Parts: sequence; C-alpha cells; structure tokens
Amino acid sequence: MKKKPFIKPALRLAMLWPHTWAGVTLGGLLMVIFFMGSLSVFAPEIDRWMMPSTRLEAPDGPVSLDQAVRPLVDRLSAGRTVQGWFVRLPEERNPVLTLRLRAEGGAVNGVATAEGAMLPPVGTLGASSFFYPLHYSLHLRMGFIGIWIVSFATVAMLVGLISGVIIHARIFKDVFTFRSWGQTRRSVLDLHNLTGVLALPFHLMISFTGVVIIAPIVLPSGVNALYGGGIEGFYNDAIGGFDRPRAGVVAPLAPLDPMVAEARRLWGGGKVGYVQVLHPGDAAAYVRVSRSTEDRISLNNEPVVFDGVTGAVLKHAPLGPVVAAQRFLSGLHIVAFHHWSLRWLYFLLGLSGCALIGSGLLCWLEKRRAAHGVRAGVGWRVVAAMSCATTVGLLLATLAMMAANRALPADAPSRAMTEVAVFFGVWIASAIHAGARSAGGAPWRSQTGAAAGLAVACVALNGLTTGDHPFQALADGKMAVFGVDSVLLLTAALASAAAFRLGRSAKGRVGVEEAKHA
Amino acid sequence: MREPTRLRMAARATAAIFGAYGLAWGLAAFGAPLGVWSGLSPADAVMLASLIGLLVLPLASLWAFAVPRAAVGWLALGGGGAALTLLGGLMRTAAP
Amino acid sequence: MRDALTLLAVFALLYLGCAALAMTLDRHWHDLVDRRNGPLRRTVQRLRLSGAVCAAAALALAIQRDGGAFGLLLWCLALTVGAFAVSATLTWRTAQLRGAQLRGD
Repeated sequence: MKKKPFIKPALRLAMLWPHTWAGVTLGGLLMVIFFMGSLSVFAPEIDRWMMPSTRLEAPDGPVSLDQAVRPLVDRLSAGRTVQGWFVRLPEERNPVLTLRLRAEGGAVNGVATAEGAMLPPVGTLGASSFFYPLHYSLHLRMGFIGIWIVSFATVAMLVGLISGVIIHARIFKDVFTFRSWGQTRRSVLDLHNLTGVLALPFHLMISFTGVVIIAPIVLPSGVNALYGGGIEGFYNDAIGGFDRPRAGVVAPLAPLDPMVAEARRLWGGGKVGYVQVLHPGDAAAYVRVSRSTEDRISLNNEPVVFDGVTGAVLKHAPLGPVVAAQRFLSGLHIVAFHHWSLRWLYFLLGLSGCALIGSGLLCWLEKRRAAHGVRAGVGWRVVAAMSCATTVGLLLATLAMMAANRALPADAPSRAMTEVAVFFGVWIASAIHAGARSAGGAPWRSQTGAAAGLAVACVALNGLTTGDHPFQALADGKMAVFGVDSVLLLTAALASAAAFRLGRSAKGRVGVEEAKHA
Repeated sequence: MREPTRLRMAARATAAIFGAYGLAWGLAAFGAPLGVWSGLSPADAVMLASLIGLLVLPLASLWAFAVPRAAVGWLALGGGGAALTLLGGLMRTAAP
Repeated sequence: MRDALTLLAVFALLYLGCAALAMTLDRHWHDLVDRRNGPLRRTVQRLRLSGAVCAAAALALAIQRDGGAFGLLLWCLALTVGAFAVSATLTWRTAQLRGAQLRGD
C-alpha cells in the first residue's frame, strides 16, 4: 500500500462519499460476515459444544480405513449401490470420523468414533454447517448467488478501508488515541479510527484473501478464456483434481490402508486429512487421499489419486507457482492450521472488524441525529434499526440458537431445522423490535441486557444437560467446551457492563432533551 | 465547487461498481492468454490474471470517485475493460 | 513451557516497543509526562530506537519459536494486539490523571 504523506484535500473530500455510502448500505451485511467469520475460527470447538456426543479425545495413532471405516460405509449404504463416499479422519479439534455417502436414493451422512463405533445423529448443523456457510454464502446456494453477494460486500469493505485511510487526517499522530472521556460521539469516532488503523493490515489481508479463495468463481473471464467456462476442468488442472466415469464392470475395491501408506511416503510424512472413494466396486474406481494441512499455512493438501482396483498411483502433481500462492493466501484466510495463539488472535482481530463496522455505523447515526434534532427521518430510523439488528440482534440470534441446541430434546423431530428456525425467528424479532423503537434511537440497552441473560442461560443449559459445567470440563480436559463456556460468560459480563453504561448515558441524554424543552 | 448532484454521484457509483468490475473482467480475460503466451501453465495463467484483476478492482472503484470528471471514469474503466476483453479474445483465436 | 514463555516474551516485547513509540507522540507525552514541553529530539530518537530493537527481538523470537511463515504471521498479529493494549493503557492512565487533576490533587 502506498503511503501518501500529503493527501490533497480534494482527494480526501472525494473519498468521503464512497466511504460513507459503502458503510451505511453494506455495514449490516459486513457485520454478519465478520461476526460469523470470527465464530468460524472456532467452528470445531463450537461444534463440540453443540454436539455433546462428539466431546471425545483425539485418537493416539492413525485410523485404519479398512478396519474402522469400510464397515461403516457398508452399514450406512444398507445394500444400495454406492456412487462415492468421503471420510474426514479424526484429529485434535475434530476427534470423530465424518462420513458422507452418495448412494442411489440420496446422500447419507454419519459420524463415528475413531474406533469405528457409529454415533447417533447429532441433530444439529452446528457451527461448521450453519455459522460457517452463513459467513461465506449467506446460505444462498443457487447459482453461487450468496458467494457473489458476499464478494461484492468484501470489495466494498476494501473500498471502505482504503478510502478511510485516505480520509483520516492525522493518521500517525492519532494512531494510539482513544479518548474515553468527553463527548460519546468523539469516543466512538476514536474507536472507529483506532480499530481501523491499528488492525489495518489484518483487515486488508482478511478481506482480500477472502475474495481470493473464490477468485475463479467471481471473476470467471480467465476461466472462460482458457477453459471455455468449464470451471471443473480448471480446478482439476489447478489443484490436482481427477475425474473418470464408471466402467460398468464389477471389480473389488483394493485395500485402502496401503494406499494411505504410499501417499504418506510420497508426501515425505504428514497426516491424512480426508479420503474420497469414487465408483467403489467398479473397475474404474479411484481413490483420492488428501494430506492434512494442520502444520502449514497453505491449503495445499497434495492430493494423490490411486486406481481403486490395482492401487497404482494415477496422479500426484505438484502445484504451479501461482496456484501455490493462491493456496497460501487462501490458507491465511481459512486458518486450518493448528496454532492456538494465532487462532485466538484471528478471533479477536475479527471481532475488532465488527467493532470497526459497528462504530462506523454509530458515528453516522450520531452525526445525523445531531443534524435532525428530535424528530428522526425514515432513512435514519432504518439505519438505526438495521445497525441494532445486525449487531446485538445477530448476537441474540446466535445465543438463542445455542440455547435451543441445549434445550431441545435429543430425539426431537427436525431438530436441526428447529434450531435454525429459532435463529432466524429471534433475529427477525429483534429487527422488528428495533424498528418499532427506532424513533428515539434503537433499543440497544434492552437487547444488550437480553444478550447477557441468554449467554448465561447457554452456560447453565450446557451444565444441566451434559454435566460438563466449566469446572468439570476443565478437569476432564474438554478444553473446547471450557473455551466456549468461558467466552459465553465473558460475553455476558461485557453485555451487562454495556447495558449498564447505556442505561446511564440514556438517562443523561433524556435529561438534556427535557431541559431543552422545559 | 458545485455540490455534486444525485445524478452525478449515481454516475460515479455505477462507474465504480460496474466499470471497475468490467476492467477487472478485461484484465483477467486478457491476462490469462497473455500468461500462457509467456510460458505459464493454463491454470497458473488463469489464477494470476484473476488475482491481478481482484487486486485492481477496489483501486479502480476508488479511482472512479477520485477522477475529476465522472465520464472519464466510465470511459477508462468500462472502455478499458471492453478493450481488454476483445484483445483477450483475439489472442485466443490467434494462438490456440 | 518454553513455548509459552517465548510467546509471552514476544507479546511483552511488542507491547514495550509500541509503548516506546507512543511516547514519541506529542499528545501522549503532554498527557502523561510534561504538559508544557514536548519530548527532546534525543529522547524521541532513543525511544524510536528502543521500539525498533524490541520489535526486532520479538520477530527473532517468533521465528525461532514457530518457523519463518508462522513466526512472521504471529509477529504481525501480535504487533496489532500490542498496539491495542498500549492504547488501552494510555487511555486508562490519562483518564486517571485527568480525574486526579479535576479533583485538584
């Protein structure tokens, strides 16, 4: 990024409009993306909390595919022809076998212990299948429309960041400034500048790398030029994919464990991340073994493709330099590596992004409120309601879903969908509540207070329904549960403090208004 | 300085959104065959061109607001994008 | 244990480095040290040097702990968090001193 020591005032003025408008129109959406993204950093840990049956210890040694996994595949297929199956092997953060089957009649999923004992259905989408997809696609899957929307918002975020730096007048002198005294408006602006400037490298990196991950999807002209728009052909070329149709001849699937051993030899060591088997039982069967990326930043998982019948290596191609760079940039965003301090830093800095966006919205609201005085216009009320709904409202929805996860009985019908309904129901309710009370400013205080209560309820419900209350979880070494409970309690403390402070300042503001009209 | 009218700001905003994307599109469309011509593998060429396009995208967007006349923004970005896309098409047919 | 101590050292060094840099800024010098006179040029140079030395030492420790890529990434993110911590410290300390001033201590 170029540093501009003397930025012309005309340029600074020109940057003000895109900065403000990108923030006001897309701030709510960006808040959702940043918040869900921050949660996704700890998605496996939240999964352990939401799926108590998976609160297991990681296995000591490697898992045998032939002995532990193939019997499970046979069981799940229940006699039907299997078109393909996929297994993610257990590791520290995900101590279970995750199986996905494609058979005639539909897809089947299953979760099992590392020893091969099938677990009952988890009854929840958890963080990995709800919060994470919400982050990158808003759960809008048709035609990649959700990814397009998130990408558009991300480019707007980059526009907001760069324009913000150009607008900021005394960027070096004010770099550590946060005046918690005096006018609230000034404190909020200070917070906006602080979170924007100090964490600028992180925000630029996380936003750019986010779009880099799906670059061929949202900027397909390159793929069109050289692959005729066939994006699968591009990905096969780029990251070592492979495809061949069924032969229609029956042939037994060779043992998988020797293939895994060969893959590990070709990699020069390393753990297996996942294994895919296509057309099992067919002469054209093939097996794709991927390396775990927990010890590197890059997402390069060096796939090795084996012939399913003979076990011969069909494909093991290294990445080209540019694709390797893209895998590294993607890895900087996805943070699949095992490094606890880095993981916490990503989480905290992601939340600082939420603080950046939220403080920006508050700046705009306070500035406009001063301009229009007592009676607020419709535009202001919409932004006020939207700001409250996408910040505290979103938090309420998340906490409500986690509370429902613990409160619903394990055998409730459509349990996972009920949790999702709770999430969206609470979110919509908070938006309606915020909209109804937007005339005097959105109901931040009551919703923040509700969030504090819900967070405590989550911890209590977890203790009641699983017995893993925080002290017990710590004693048993269930660090994921202890971590989630601790963050929930911290959230409750911060939300209570915020609600208290908001109550005091509201009284102050009301007093001033009354004095003006007395 | 005259206060920019809503129409002018709308023109700038559309240039910033669609014009900048058009430029990025053109960069990727032209950069990919150019990359192959300079010796990169097709996958690498596509990826490099797409990454450069993505890098330019927010900068081009902001330029559309900084440029003194909005029309120049539309010409440079949209026009540039179209020109690059055409060039890319020509390159492909010339050297398959 | 050694890993934990090294991590603590990285954070501590970056915190101190940012603190040194913060004190070269007029605003914070006036708030915390001397209301009327800014820092001497010599003081500013020494503070900047200390800041650079702390940052370099932290980078070396981080790379030694986690290797090149992870070490550099850790250093960059820890630097941001250190800067936030310094900002919080400055705010808290300045608010304290202002409160004392208003009370006429």
